[in-house]
Amino acid sequence: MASARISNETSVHAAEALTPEQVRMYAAGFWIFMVSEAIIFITLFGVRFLLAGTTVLPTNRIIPIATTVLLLASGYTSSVSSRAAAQGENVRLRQYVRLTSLLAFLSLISVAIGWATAGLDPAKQYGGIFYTIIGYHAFHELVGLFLFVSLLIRTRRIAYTPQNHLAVQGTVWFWEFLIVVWILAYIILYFI
Amino acid sequence: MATEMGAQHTGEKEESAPQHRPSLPPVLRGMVWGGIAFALLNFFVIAIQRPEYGALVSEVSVSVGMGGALIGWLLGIGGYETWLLPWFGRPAAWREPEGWQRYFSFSTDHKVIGIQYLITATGTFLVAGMVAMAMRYNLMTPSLNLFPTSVAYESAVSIHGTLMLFAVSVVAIVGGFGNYFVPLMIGAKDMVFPRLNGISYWLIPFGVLTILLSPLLGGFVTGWTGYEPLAARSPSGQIFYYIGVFTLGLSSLLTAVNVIATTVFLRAPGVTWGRLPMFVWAMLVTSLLNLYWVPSIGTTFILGLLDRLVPTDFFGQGGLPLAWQSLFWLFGHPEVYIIMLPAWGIWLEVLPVFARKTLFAQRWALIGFIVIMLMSNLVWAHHMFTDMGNAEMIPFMLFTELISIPTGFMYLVALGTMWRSRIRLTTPMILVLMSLFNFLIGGLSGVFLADGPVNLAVHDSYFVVAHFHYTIIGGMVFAWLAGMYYWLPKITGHAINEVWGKINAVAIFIGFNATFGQMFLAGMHGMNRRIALYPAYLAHQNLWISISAFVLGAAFASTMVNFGIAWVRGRQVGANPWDAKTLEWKTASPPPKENFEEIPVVTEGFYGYGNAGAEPEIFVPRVAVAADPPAPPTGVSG
Repeated sequence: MASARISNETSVHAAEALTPEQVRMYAAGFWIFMVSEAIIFITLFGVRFLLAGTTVLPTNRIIPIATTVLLLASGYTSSVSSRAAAQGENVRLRQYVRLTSLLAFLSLISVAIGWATAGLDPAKQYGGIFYTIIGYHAFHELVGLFLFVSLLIRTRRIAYTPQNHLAVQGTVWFWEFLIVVWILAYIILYFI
Repeated sequence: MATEMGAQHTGEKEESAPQHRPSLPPVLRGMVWGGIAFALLNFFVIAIQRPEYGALVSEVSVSVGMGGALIGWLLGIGGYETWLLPWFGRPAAWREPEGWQRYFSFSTDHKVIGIQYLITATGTFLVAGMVAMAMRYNLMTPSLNLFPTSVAYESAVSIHGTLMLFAVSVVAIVGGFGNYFVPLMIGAKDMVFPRLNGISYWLIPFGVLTILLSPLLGGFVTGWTGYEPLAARSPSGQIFYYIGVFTLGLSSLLTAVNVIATTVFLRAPGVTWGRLPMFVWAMLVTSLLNLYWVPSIGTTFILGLLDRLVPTDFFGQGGLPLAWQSLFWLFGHPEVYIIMLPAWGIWLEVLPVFARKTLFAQRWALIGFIVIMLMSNLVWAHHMFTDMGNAEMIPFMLFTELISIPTGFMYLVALGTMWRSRIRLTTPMILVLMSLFNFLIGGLSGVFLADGPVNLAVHDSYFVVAHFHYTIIGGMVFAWLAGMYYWLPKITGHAINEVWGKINAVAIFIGFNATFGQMFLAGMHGMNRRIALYPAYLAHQNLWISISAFVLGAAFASTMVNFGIAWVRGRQVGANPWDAKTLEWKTASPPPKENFEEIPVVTEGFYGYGNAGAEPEIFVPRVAVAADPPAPPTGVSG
């Protein structure tokens, strides 16, 4: 990131050179932060069982399947983009980040449709926690989408190297974390 | 290193792009951007909602507006240049100002950030303290004599408690000393994530102002705990409580990530886990608690906010009001240890320096830290004894009373360190001794309170108020002041006036014990907490509590004046005025830009005062030295 701050803004620069220890350090810092992200969803899932037990009310069940498929597909493309960055293939990286952004955007659209057509009462326990968990997840997806789009714009100026592609890795890790959370939320909200 | 890169580029910027300097001072620009974002989002929501009677704000519009205001404020303060532009691959166009202006802008220097935290926490402490003075003034008579209504008084109690807990006691030592001294004590140049550190500080003023502005929407009556269903009936200021505390929590969380990563990865060669200074250990353990409880409480606060805005019914009549209490105290009791662990860290740093003796049983203090960290997760329901059956009380009673054992380790370590030592009674040492005394009372009264029968008798009375003020002021604030006297010469390069320091310390000690010691009695006589009106028979006692509280307030103000004078024109001190051994004293006072001229290499522990060749005589029994020189100094050395 930092080495792009050189006078000619339009040319492409290699990402800041980091030692393997620094890469490990920044990656570990990222995962320390992700512990707190996990706690958020653990709390929400706990509240779901605390307040609504294992109640499941009838709601729109077609859309979440579409969401799941889109998210899993985006998970695949995102991991391909991470591998491309690890091999220094920046053209392929850009292709797959673009594809992932598109899939992420579509999955957000499907979440929004699912939200709008769920037909539950937020003032009841199941409805309230349903909208809250999906909404929290959608907010995180929005952040993830912002990360992918900004990554796409950044790759115009910065060439990620096999040594330092932490920005790609972090974005992909965050996204894959969200996919795992979605699958848990899907099971917990629709089946248990 | 990121810091080196930053420095290098600042140099380039001066030649190539001076026009990137923001046109407004950062704080002002943050306010303007935040204000614009608030207004836009607020009126956007109002335009959708169309509330009756043409109101210009609603709870929903204010909440959405505050979200926008937070982002606008953070971007305006410097986040735009340091976060948003690099995020899109543009050059980071931020140039840190020089001199005093550094403290009023986004900074990536952990020492600047530490000072920002310390000053903010001190300012908030004085503001929230003034609120407490107003409360005590009102309580001088059994009727309302300052606040117009009971709700106004209860709002004052809530603001005092919320600010003191979330913006002072968890911020002053963790944010201030933690940011300043963790890198120094482990021999690092800066934190792992300096930009994250900068942004985490600027969340604090936003959170503090949010809570202080709550009277604009009628204040809130729930105290710092936000209990449901009272919160549902509280005036609209309640949403400022949720938003403000959420913001402050976010700051704690980011600091925790930084402290953990820094401690794990940036220790200088030779600073092994076994040699890690006790204050750094305390900060690490505290940060772990922050890391897993702050997101939990943040989520709970969002749920509480949704209960008011949507409205959902998580904690209302259809939901579980007690779920709020459990979720709150699941965080809220570890919070007490988030406050106290760094204070114990300061005890254990200051004691060996002034007792001139090796820290006694250092391992046991560490075991105490870790056992407390784990056990603090098992005690939360002792705040809810009035809501549960007798059988449910027993495990929480047991764990709460058991946690006093690892807490006792701190006392054993402190006493063992001071045992047969020649204590240098400087101001920091006196304050640590006072902190030991006060926290003993606070802790022992806590053991009583954890006992079901006693708890039911004194629940929600001034006995509880006295208990937690003894732990938080008596324990944490005294340790914070000790840390200020101990480390301010390092931070500023100027000595603090010792005579005035001791006078102030004694005045605070007397004022504090007179105020809160009497509160134990008032509680047992039937004085309820958080009420503006009380039975007339308590008037005499309350009058004396108030007078003592004013003495305490004056003593705190006097201490701040002493700090201020020292900062401006105190005597210059050298690198190591206290003859201490930890790494922060191995560099100049104040430390240079990247702390150390070269990264130090550590070859032995930091508390080996007994092994130092310079002062072995401390470890010879005094009686033996005086009467019978040949007696071998067995059993006490090293």
